[in-house]
Amino acid sequence: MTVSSVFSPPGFNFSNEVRNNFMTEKGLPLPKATSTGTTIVGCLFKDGIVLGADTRATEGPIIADKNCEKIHYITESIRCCGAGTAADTEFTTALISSNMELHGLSTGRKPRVVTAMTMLKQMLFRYQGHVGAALVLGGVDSTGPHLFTIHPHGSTDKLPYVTMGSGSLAAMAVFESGWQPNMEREDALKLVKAAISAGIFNDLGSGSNIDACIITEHHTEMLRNVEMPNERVQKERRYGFRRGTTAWKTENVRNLIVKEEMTFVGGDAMDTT
Amino acid sequence: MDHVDWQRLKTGEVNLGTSIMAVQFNDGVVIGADSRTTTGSYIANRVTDKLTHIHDRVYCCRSGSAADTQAVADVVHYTLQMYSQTAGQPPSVHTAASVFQKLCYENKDALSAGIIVAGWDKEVGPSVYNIPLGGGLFRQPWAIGGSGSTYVYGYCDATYKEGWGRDETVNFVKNTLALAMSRDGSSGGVIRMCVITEDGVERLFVPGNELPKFWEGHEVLRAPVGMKKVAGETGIVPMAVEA
Amino acid sequence: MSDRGKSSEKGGELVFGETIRVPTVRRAIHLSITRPLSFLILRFPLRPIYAQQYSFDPLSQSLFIIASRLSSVNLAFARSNSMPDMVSIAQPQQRQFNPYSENGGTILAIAGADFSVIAGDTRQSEGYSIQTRYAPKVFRLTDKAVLAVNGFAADGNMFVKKVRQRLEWYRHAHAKDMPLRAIARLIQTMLYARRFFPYYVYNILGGIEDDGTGAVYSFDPVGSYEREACRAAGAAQSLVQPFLDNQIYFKNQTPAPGTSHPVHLPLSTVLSLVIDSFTSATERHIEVGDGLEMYVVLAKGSASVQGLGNIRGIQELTATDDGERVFVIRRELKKD
Repeated sequence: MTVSSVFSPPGFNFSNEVRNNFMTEKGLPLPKATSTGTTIVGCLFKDGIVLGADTRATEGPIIADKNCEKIHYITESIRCCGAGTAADTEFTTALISSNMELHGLSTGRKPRVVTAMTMLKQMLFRYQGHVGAALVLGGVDSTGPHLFTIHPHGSTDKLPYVTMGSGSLAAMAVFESGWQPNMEREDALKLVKAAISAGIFNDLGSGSNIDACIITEHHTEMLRNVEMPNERVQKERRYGFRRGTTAWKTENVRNLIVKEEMTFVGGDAMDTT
Repeated sequence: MDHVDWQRLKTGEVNLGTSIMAVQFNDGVVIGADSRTTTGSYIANRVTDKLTHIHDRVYCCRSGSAADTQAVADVVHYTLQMYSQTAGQPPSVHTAASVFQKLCYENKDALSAGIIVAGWDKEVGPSVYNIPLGGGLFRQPWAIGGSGSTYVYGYCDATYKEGWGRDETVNFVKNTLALAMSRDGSSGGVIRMCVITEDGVERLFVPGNELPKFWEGHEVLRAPVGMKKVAGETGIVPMAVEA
Repeated sequence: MSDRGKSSEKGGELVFGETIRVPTVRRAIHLSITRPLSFLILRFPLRPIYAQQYSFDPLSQSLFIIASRLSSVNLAFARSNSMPDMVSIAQPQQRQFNPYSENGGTILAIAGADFSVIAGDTRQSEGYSIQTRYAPKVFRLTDKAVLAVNGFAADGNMFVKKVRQRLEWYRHAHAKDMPLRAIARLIQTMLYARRFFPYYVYNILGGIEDDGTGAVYSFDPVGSYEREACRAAGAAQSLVQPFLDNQIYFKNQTPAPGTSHPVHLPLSTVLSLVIDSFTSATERHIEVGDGLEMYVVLAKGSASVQGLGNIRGIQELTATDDGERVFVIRRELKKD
């Protein structure tokens, strides 16, 4: 393979922007990105933070992924739920996770939640909303538990219970009626599950299963698919096809086994053991 | 800047709401704000703190885009930290306001931020600076801002007096904000206030159910007091309202 | 202060507080429109103006007539702006009330040799919200005709109401139920009567013809229709129709050597295919779910009635003796 002779800087590549603007002008819209029309939540409790998310990813009205993961790893005791453009949430959190690891290495301390929050908000503000990531960031550090929301334009809020995504209104209704200060771990998890369920059943953009993550000072517990209230039902018929169902016009059999013959030219053969 | 794109204004946010205020008095300044942050008609945060720490004796009240004002405030905070380290003394309120103004003016086409800077310094004592949308800088004895402010200019003009003490000023701010919040749908929640004096910064909090109350309308909507009741009539009033 | 359209670029951004922008230019626009154009605007009835906004496929071509009439207005707008005595620099713009919405859901019908199955889910939604988990989209018209309507629910309900009214008038006049093919033609004329302010609905009519065969008629919103063996419509049409083409018409399936595909499928198979269509659509389409209603219309004396006896929760809706029979089967669908 030839190596590209053109210098390619790190980060986003804007080389197609002029072309894409031209095509949009001519009536060819940009392809739609997978959006996680989502319910994500977070809530403070006695010993830490509980984060929650549904697992549906959509492309317009079509469900693209029935069981995706929306709670992303930032550090061992900091996690981030993502709503909005799926690719943006994924890459943004991955980038910040990487930078947090490096930050931890260079400072020799456990990095803090505000550090992640500041990195995220500064990146999102720089991109003026074009990076469509709406995040719920939660974690525990040396200064205690912290919970933030970060909007795509880079604004942040610090609150004891937060929701985001298309199901955020349904979930917030649950929090506003059920949240109390200093809740027990189990009660907090129950409330988060109820909030996500409200999103799953009342918001068309959210659905399938519940993921949760409980972060305390010394331990982080990722509860993947902690509840599965929407299992697929058994089909009435089996849709196997008889061999030979698909019509074909020509037949061509190719041998996929690669045969090589080795010829040593001069000297001893290299010791490859 | 010779044409207004109403189509784009319509699709975006016209629904920008807040009520912020700063008033200077003899020994310091009182700043205050409501606590509502909105996305369209949804209240994204009902207990927002729009009174943002900039330096030891300098605070700002933010209105406009949450992201823009947070970013600007963060930059100014950083700048003044550097300044105070190099200068070996805290910045004056005017210095802080000037940094705000520079950012708001030079990036006026990218920002929607209406900011009030207030605080105390040893040069001039208490001072209030208003930095409206285009990035102007105006020193004022009192300043109000945000969509709720349009409802209370008259009240402020009629009420404000020079030479007030701390408590009178706090009451003025509290009453003004309560009036603005009651008329402006996109302001609301609680009132947060700060009293900034040479001695320090004191934070005050008025819960949403303890806001000062003013005229609430039932005198007119109910049947006039002492109106004779006609026999057989059930006492019909123009409109039934909750007491 | 008022002349910056900037904040609007950030749709959905979090905001609090800002000075109000005063619409100073708007008056100028109004003047420039109303003076030279008032006569033009008044001549246009309101309804075609509504219709101009929508471009669902079957209509887009015909709406062009109205669009072109409107564009003459737009041209006039533009001209008035360039008049030398006018100071206004604003562009003409249309702001209109939209009388239509789209309420999701999917319907489908399959015709057998002597029966017909007409089905629809019961979720009604708008945007990302569920309006109700039970809003029927399939309606019994007579003992031999069932109509499924999908699209804009308000239009659908009104349309069914009006079809039923016409069928009742027919019964009073002729002392019998209207034949299926006549109902199909009636629906066509009723839809086309509203050619320029259409019912925003896709109709599928299923039932039994006078000759005793199962039939399915499908319509577009302005009345184009044809008789078919099966048809899916609505939100998940693009998911269900290919499945039906493959399983009912055996598209892309070569029969085993020496055999051929059946022309008609038995009722039990059809019902299974309908259920599977809806459970699958529920899996992958956000607007489909909550409940499923399947109507079965049997021809007079159909042998398929035997298979219906052991179906869970089946209910008979037949009104007359000694003719076609109508049944409904209800099933739950996923609610997320």
